[in-house]
Amino acid sequence: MTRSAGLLILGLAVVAGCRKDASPPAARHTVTLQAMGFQPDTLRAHPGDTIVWVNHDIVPHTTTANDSTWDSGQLNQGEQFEWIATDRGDYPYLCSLHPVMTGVVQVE
Amino acid sequence: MLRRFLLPAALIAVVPGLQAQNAPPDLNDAEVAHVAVTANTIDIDAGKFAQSKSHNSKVTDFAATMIRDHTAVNQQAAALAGRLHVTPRDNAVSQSLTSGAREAHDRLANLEGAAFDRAYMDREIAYHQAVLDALDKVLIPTTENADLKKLLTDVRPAIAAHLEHAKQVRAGLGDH
Repeated sequence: MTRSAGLLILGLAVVAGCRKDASPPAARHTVTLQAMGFQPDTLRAHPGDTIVWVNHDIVPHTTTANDSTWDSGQLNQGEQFEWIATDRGDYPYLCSLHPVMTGVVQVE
Repeated sequence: MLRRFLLPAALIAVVPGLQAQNAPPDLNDAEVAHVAVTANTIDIDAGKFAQSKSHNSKVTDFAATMIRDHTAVNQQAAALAGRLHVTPRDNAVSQSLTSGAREAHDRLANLEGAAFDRAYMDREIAYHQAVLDALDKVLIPTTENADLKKLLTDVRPAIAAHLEHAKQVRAGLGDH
């Protein structure tokens, strides 16, 4: 291998090593249902992330997207529901059993 | 044995049987447990009655939530009583709550349609406000047993949310 070819290969390897993906690796976010609220009530996520809602409250709840993108159905105490974000946008949601409980997932 | 409690004026005001008493009653733990179960059961029964009478989906949905939530709370209360080896004991407050609920039921039974819906929601607002006052002013601050205090504290947001939900539904019914 010539010296110039060796430098070229090394340069390509460095470039490849420094290249970043367009999106960060998928993350897992947890939203707690407690005291008649979603905590946090505003969550920022990225496409590919998983959002997990866990009901720690004394009464049943749901997590239901306003546009029906997801609907957990009734979650009793200790039960959970997962949704994987795919498309960017704001996703307001509520507990269909207690409309005073609202939240939003912001997929950026 | 847990301490005894004084019931606030708001709870007494919503229960006709207690209004005539000169001084608020005091309760021990077993009696508080009975009052809690009775209060939940009353609202479960009221919800079932509303479901049988109302044709307004907002009202019947609210009633379904009351049945679901107060049943869940009663299950937790029963489990706690078992862990604490406390047998709920009937008492004058529970009996007055039951008597007041019966009177409210009789008043509601004579109403139909929108008049029933408004009266039921008015009753739910008054009832949850009274229970909320009892929790805030007496039961939570004076409870010393950690498990019982946690249960009462955990229940408090649900009662507050029920009150707000009831006000929203009632506002949508109008006055006529």
